[in-house]
Amino acid sequence: MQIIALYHIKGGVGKTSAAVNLAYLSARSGAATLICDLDPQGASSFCFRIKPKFQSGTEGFIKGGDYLEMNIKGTDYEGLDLLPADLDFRNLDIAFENRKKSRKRLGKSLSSLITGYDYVILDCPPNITLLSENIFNAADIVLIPIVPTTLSIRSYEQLKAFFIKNNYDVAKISGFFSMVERRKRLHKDIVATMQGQYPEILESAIPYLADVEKMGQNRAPVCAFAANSRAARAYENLWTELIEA
Amino acid sequence: MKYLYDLRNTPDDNAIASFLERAFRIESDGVSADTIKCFDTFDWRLYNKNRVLFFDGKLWTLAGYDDGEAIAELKWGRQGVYAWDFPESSLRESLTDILEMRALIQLFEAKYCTEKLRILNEDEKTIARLNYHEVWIDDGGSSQEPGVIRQIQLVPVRGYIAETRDVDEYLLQHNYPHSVDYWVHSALQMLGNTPGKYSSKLKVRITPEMSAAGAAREIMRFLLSVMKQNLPGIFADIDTEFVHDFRVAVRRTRSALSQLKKVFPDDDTQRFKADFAYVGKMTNHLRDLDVYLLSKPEFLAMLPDELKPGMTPFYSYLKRERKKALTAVFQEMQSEKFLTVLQDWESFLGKDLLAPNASIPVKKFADKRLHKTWRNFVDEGSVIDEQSPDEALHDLRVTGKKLRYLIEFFASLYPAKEMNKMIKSLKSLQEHLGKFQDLCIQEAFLRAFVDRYSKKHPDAHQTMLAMGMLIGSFHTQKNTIKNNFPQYFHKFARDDKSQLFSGDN
Repeated sequence: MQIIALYHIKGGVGKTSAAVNLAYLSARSGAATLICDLDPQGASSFCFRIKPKFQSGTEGFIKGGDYLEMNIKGTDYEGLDLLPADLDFRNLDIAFENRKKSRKRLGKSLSSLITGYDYVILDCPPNITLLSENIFNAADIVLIPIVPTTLSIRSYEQLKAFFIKNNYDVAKISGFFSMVERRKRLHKDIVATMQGQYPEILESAIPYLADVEKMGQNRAPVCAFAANSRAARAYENLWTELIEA
Repeated sequence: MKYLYDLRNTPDDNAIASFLERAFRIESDGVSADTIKCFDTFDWRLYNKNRVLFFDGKLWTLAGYDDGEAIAELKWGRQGVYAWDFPESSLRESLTDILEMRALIQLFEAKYCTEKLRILNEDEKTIARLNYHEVWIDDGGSSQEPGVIRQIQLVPVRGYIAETRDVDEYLLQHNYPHSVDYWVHSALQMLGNTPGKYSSKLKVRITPEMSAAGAAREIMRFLLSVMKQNLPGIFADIDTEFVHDFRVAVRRTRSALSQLKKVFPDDDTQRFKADFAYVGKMTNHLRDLDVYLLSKPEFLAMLPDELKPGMTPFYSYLKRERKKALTAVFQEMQSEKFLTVLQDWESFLGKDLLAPNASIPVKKFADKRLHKTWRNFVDEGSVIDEQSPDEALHDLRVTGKKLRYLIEFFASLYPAKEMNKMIKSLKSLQEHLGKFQDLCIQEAFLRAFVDRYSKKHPDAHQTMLAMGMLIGSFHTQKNTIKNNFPQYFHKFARDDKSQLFSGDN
């Protein structure tokens, strides 16, 4: 089982779109896949038309095993299941805080899943909290969508510094450019500079495209409702590069 | 719970989607049509594990026999015969465990059409899948029209079981009854094939009121049918196990002929003993070669990587020899002599002839034989220690085999639980003895190969080293078995089962 976390300290960077499409592509390739919607806003649950309701509460979430299993829902796509979000997930931090080994509970809870998944994709909430630290421990890859702006570079560097300072495995971090506008000179320049500077940043980038925006309307991965679109191809390239890396 | 529904007696076969639309939101994922091939081994290994294997020319699917649920899939456009032919995958792993050395045989080919429907909730989220299967089975010309099977399969989506139950209820209410079997089973029935019909296991029902000769004939007839059923597979050289099963049936027949004393007239017994000794011998060489070829991975695993290439001449030799041995077996099996043995034996088994033990009740006969053979086995085994010669273990293996065959012949006369337990513990003891015997033979075989090969190729150091290492390893393994044998035997003999055969049951 490989755990891939889509993470960024701030919202609106294309995290959920990537999580939803990568999970879809993973399942389409024949791998048993679970997407966990850890964001209380429930955007990826919404994309799969699944009600954001986690019946076992945060305590159940942390206990794992059957408490997780009973909440897993099959999506419209074979081989792809989803663990829905819940508004209660906003309290996961407090729940982790009250436990021993409070930074390693998520990994333990996920590893207790009876059903064998080849890939577990985590759609993470935007912030840096105890939950995020659990994610850094549990994930095999922490995948960061980077919008090519000066501020993004700064927060990417901040995250790496946080990893080093707190003894998380910095080799887990990988990034990709998201919402790239080819017409913007600044975007082009930043992509070129950063890719040279950070070898862990993947070459495949996700352009800023209307099809990606339509996911909310269609409530489906763009790779499913517009399989031949530029957006779908961009996610395909990203997935291939990610698993081959 | 498998949600399968028969459409045999339903009038609106083709209108399943529009019928469901009256009650549910339906989305069709389209119709696909394919030719599909269905596989199992000759001895139904997949079926016995509730599995079936499909191939549509592009995709291999290992599925549940009773519900068609896919367990492993592999995109691979080629035709595999053995598990090891398939590329590395979870499908190959599952096949390796189930098939072992057996080949896949095509059960049938069918034209297959599936419409995939999804049932949606108010958010247009899929809450159940529904596959409509239409399968045309061509029975190869024995009837004018190919048979058609129509079946609906409702596939629950995880987390929406209540919704699935609603659909199920609706179908039942509207005259779509649950099917007993997945369509593959109906297809096999349509073709007159009975899954599981062949098994090399002795499946003879002996009852206490039978005469000893009657029971013996019943056992022998079963063994003869096993021999005959394996002949086509031997001629087609499908896999090694046809010869193996044939040989086991011959060995059991020979054992029965010598152990079921005086149930047949003496002259006949002597004649057929000689005949089946000849039949058994026919395949000895071929089987030995098969065993070496099958244990190739095991042998190679005993060697360091740099010595593995040294084994190539040995395996080339085995392959050449096997070709010759197979031709010899073909010739012998087509000979007048062999065919006469089988024919004469079959007609002999149809006759009720006078003999001293022929008419005594089989239970009494079995009690006596089993009691005696059990005692012999225990007496022989309990004196074996680390100092005993190899022959002592060989002899014990032979007695053990006699005992095991006797138990299998007459198992149905005794309490099943006790007998199964006894067969199991005897089998595990026999495995050590069998392994010991194999190691002795393999050691001798490799030595003989080395003698011949080194004369022609005195410089083939790598091959000699590899052979030397294997022989050394065989020797160590033999010693381990011998040293531990008293312990194994004690474990086996500590509960005396001979009272089972005292005639009180």
